[in-house]
Amino acid sequence: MKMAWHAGYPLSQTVLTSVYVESILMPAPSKVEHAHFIRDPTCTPPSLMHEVLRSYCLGLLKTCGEVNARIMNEHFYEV
Amino acid sequence: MDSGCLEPGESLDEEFDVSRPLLPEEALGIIDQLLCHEVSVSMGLG
Repeated sequence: MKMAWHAGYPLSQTVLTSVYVESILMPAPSKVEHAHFIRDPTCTPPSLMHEVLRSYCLGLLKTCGEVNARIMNEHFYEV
Repeated sequence: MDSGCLEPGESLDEEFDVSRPLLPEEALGIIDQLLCHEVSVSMGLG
């Protein structure tokens, strides 16, 4: 019997391989306001394309977190 | 893993400049790739 959770790829080999996702997560932001690609306030403000990409990355990471939390809270049995 | 093979001056850290200007098609391409990654993770979740 195929284990369903083996059929997918882990986050570490997919979503977390993106340098943009990594730049948002490292170091882990405590607030959404801190979640930027570049956190240096003296740098030039991010462009519109960066804001669009940042918005997508934040939504993606939140979705992955919610799915992960939902799975962790479920009871499951290994056969 | 291959840290013993670093040349002098090389770094393990990714040196890609995430603040470099992005064209709209580049941003869409990155979003498309991330969407593919997210789907591949979801494939294993039933």
